[in-house]
Amino acid sequence: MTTAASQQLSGCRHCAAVQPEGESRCHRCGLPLHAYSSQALWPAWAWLAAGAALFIPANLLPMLETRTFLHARASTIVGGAWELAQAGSVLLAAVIVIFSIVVPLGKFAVMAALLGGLRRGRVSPWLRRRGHVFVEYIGRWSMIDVFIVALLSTLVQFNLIAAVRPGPAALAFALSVICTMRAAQLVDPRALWNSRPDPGW
Amino acid sequence: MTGLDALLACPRCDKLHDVPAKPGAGLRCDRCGKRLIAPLRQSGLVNLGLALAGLSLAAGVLLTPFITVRSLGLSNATTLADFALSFSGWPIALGGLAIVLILVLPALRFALLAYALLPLVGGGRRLPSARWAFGLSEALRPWSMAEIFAIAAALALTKAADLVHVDIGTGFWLLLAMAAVGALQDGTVCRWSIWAALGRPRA
Repeated sequence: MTTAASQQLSGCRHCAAVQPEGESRCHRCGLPLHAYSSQALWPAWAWLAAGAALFIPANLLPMLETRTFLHARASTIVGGAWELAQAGSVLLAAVIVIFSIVVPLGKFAVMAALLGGLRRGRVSPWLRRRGHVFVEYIGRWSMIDVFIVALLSTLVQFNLIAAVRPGPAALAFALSVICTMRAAQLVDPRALWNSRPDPGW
Repeated sequence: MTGLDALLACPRCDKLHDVPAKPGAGLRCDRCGKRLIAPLRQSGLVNLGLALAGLSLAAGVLLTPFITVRSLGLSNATTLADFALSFSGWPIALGGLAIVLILVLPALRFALLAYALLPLVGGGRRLPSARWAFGLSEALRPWSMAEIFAIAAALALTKAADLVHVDIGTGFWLLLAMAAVGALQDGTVCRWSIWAALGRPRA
């Protein structure tokens, strides 16, 4: 198995063109070339930490504020999902729990494992094959909860007996998803594939 | 094709591959499984068609009612633009962010792709900044979330039906079609051949 780096060549991460090592820009697409072996990990750690920090208010503050003639109520992500399940909307509750709790927590764990593995120079075959794809492609689906809340508040405003408004958690959650997406984009998958396999996972 | 032009390096795992000599032949990395060259002869033409279709659908989504809400005898048709403007106070930021992710960025991606590909399909030279346009359309790919919003809308409508009567409008179906066109474009794009065409020197 021959990699571009092992032949003193640089492969472009954007267009896959090959050029001699040491070039700063790709001759074909004109975008900057980066050597994955010397990639700084702290920017990805910083975005991940910001995403994890925002996930805390996203779960503690109200996601949805409901007002009727009789009472006003604010519900968090977990509280809202529980109320939905009790009201019979089990599918909607399951989607919210999966994409707002399970996927983000899984993403934090996988990203931390990937970055930790890169720091040690050893990444497990499972993580490099499945982990990066999970954070890159599945992670963005967490935004589904933010869209549901935004749509519900727009739809229900036409009902004169109830008003629904997004809570501050919706914005914190959206920013948390954006931060973790950015963290995942800063990890060069070539660094994962060319680190030593870690038999621990 | 000689020397380094006859090679390509997998963007995911860096493995070197020979560029297939036969036009239209696909190539998949045998180390990480990434598709490197799509087995499609006219990828540029197909993608240009999809980009123009996506752009027309995005205009349709913006201009036609997304939903019509009926409550207490009142009927109100809402477009996606009304949706973004319906918030007051700080949730305006949330409405703005949503509309950027579900409509502005997908439409911008389609427009950039069409700009980059338009002169190439007839074998012409690339337009100024065409490489930048294609690079930006690729960078915006994960941030275009029309398909996520389409699923969210379907789920929210089932819940909202408990409180108000909602009729699905043309805009909703156009958004679904736009999301499908975006997915099809992602599935058929041959980045290698498009970059190769864009990499030829400009006149």
